[in-house]
Order: sequence, then structure tokens, then C-alpha cells
Amino acid sequence: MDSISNTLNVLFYNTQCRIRDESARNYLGFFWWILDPAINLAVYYVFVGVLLGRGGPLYVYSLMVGLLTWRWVSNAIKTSVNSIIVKRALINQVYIQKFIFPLTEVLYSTWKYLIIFSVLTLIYLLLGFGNLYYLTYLPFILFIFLLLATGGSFIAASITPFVPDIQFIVPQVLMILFYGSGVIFDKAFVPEKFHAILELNPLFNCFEALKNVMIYNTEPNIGKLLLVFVIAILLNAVGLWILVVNDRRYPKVI
Amino acid sequence: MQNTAITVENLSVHFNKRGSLAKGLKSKRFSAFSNISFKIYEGESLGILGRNGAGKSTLLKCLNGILLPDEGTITNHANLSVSLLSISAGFVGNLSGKENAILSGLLLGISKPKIMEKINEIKALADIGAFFDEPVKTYSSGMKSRLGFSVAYYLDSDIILIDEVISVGDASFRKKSADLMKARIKDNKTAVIVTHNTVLAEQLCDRLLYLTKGGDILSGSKHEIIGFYEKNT
Repeated sequence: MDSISNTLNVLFYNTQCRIRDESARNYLGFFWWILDPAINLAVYYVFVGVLLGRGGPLYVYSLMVGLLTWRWVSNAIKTSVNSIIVKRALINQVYIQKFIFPLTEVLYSTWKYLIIFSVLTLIYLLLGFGNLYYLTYLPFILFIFLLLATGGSFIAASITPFVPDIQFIVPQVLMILFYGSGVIFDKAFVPEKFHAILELNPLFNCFEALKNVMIYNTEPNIGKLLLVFVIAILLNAVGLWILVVNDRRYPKVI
Repeated sequence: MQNTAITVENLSVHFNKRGSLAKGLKSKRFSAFSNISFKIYEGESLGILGRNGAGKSTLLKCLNGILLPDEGTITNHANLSVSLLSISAGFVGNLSGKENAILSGLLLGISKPKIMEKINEIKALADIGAFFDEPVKTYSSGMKSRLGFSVAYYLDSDIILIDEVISVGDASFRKKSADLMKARIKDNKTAVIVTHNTVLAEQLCDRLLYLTKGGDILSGSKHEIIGFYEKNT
């Protein structure tokens, strides 16, 4: 029991420190989390919505919630890639369960996301989007996103110390997943025959569900969500397994 | 006869040097040490001498549980806690001395209530005044090690492993920290000390071992081991 409470203490205090450290690091600190998606939003709105005319009437709103959520998941995974390697000095001094490092990154991203997302949800409700019935699905959908973030982070963090080239592959994989996620386009503009391919991307199904409950007031496809849920659990299991098996081998390879 | 605290049997650690496309993907393997055995007794302070690169620090990492040995076993007979005395483990520049003291303490395995209970003593021991509440990035390296030492000093472990660092900071703090550590080691604590300082080894250790470059371990009287060390380095 003692060691579990100590592990949790390390995890939470480490995350708190991460938050304080980050906000002290750049002038605008926290605001980058709003500015960055806002700049992206402007770019995609102009290119896809205005120049190509493929946005649809609610494009800005779905783009906003999509880009913010994408930033949460992708940021968690991107910062996790090197999370064990950068703690080289520490890992060689004290024994720490290695899953703590990627998990700290995910918790850090999640904390920031939840603050901004809550404000955004409130604004959407005031604007008349969504209703409370469909929003009850939201915790489940966000939980699946969280599991995808932890799963991806565990796998990326666990393999990078052994195969450092992973740090160059991860951004590429994330980019492919992003363009196939439906964040910047609506399914209606994609020919029917490609839908099956899009649905192979677990993130696509999650973003569809998110848009359905936040903007279009429709039921999410629970069957597809459950499938993604299972995939996410598997990703977590594989990542954690690699981390635990190699827990005391990392100091040797980094 | 003293009780055996830890038995090390046939321990080997090998490292692989990673290859690359340019150099051929084959990785190169070398041993830190292979097939070494020795015992650590309760209450003793055991010194380990050896040349640079003999694998002394790697050995401490195995004892500490940070590193999994490739072969051999380490038996901790009474399940005693083992910690490496680490100065400034995990310090974060933008956080205050106090926040870093708490974080570092947690990482060293000290429980949160105990750190909070000792935080004023840590502050007093570090003796860095108002800087305690300032970000660590504004510290001089001496101030950082003062704070680091003060946290590590409160680590209440059954067996302490010391890798060279026994005193830190300027002359006055150097003396203070060395006196504290010596008192602690003399206080019937079990300690394993890796050092190149033969005077300190003679003074502080009850027993000495020598780790050779070839990865063997030699035992003998303190006098013999120090003589051997001075001849071979």
C-alpha cells in the first residue's frame, strides 16, 4: 500500500511541477494552448472552408472542438516520446517506475485540455449547440480519447530508448492519423467508397462521435466506439507490458 | 559474526553499444564486470576501490535495484531498504528550492508526510536563506548541491550507497556535510562507499574491496587493498 501511495504521490507532484515549470517557461505560457489551435483554425478555415469551399455550414465549430482535442492527444504522445530519455540522469540515480514519465505527460496535457474544453463546451451550450442528453455521452468519448493518448504514449515512450529513430517516426504517424481523422473535413465531402478506409482510423470514429454529440445533436455510434475502446485497452496493455518488462533495463540503454 | 545483509553471487553486467547504418548495424558488447561475488554485512561500511571504468557505479546501481544484472543474483536477506545517496535528483530549474526539495525527496522514496515534517530542517541545513523560495535556476552550483545534500541527508534507508559524493559546496559546508555523513556512517549504518580517496576509505570503511579493470573483485586487509589500488592506478 505504501509503495502505491508513494507512486501516486510522485506521479501527481511530478505533474504539478510539470505544470508550474511549463507556465514559467514562456511568456504566454498557458495561452499557447488557445493561440495555437486558433492559428490552426484560421489556416484550415481559410483553405478548406473558404478557398476549397468544402467546409459546410458548421465547419468552424467542428474544427474548433476537433483541433483542440487533437492537440490534447497528439501533444501527450509527442511529449511522451522522449519522456524516459530526458530523465536519463534521474533514472541512473534512483529507481522510479518508468510508466510515471509518459503518464505525467498525458496528465499534464489532459489537465490543460479539460480547462479549455470546459469553457468551450459552455460557450457551445450558450450558442445553442448540443443538448444535455447527448452530452451525457461526452465523458465516455473523452475517456476513450484519454486511453488512446495513454496507450500511444506508453508505446512511444517504451520503444524510443531502444530504437531512438522512433522519435522521427511518431510525428509522421500522427500526421497521417490527423489528416485521416476527419478533424479538418466532413465525412459528407468524401466519396462513399472511401468511408470504410477512414473508419479504420480509430481516431476518425472518436471524432465523429465527438462532433455528433457536441454539434449535430445525434447519437454516437456506440458499436464503433466500443471497438475503439478495445483497441485503446490493447494499446495500453502492450505499452505498459514493454515498460514493466524493461523497467530495470532502461538505465543501460539511455 | 555479523549478520549478512546482502549476498552478491556471480554477478555480471554487459552493455551493448548500439550500431548505426554508417557503422554497420551490429552492436558491440562489453562487460562492466563479470561473475563477481561478495557479501555486505549489517552495520559495516564497505569501501569499493577501483580504476575509472571498472564498473563500480554500475555495481551500485545493481545493489540499488536500478539496473537488472545480466547474470547472477543479489539476495537482500532481511529485505532492507537500499538507496543511493543522490544529490539534486530530478531538480527542475523553474521551481523553487522548497518545491524541488519536496519533489526530490519523493523521488528518493521519502514519504510526503515525512518531507513536510522535515522541510524546515532541510531549509536550515541547506542554509541558503531566502533563496529557498526562489527558482533553482537562479542558484549557484554550490547552492544547488547544498539543497540536494540537505534533502538526501534525510533519506532514512537501511543501507546507503555512496558514489564518491560525501561532501559538497564551499569549505564550510564541505566540512559540515562531511562531518554529518561520517557521523551517520559511524552510527552503525550499513554503507557501501565507492571512492578514489584512499584517506577517506581508510578512515571511514571497515573493509575494502578492489574491483579490477578485468571485472574481478579482490579482497584483503585495508592496507593491502589500498596498496594495490595505489600501485594499479
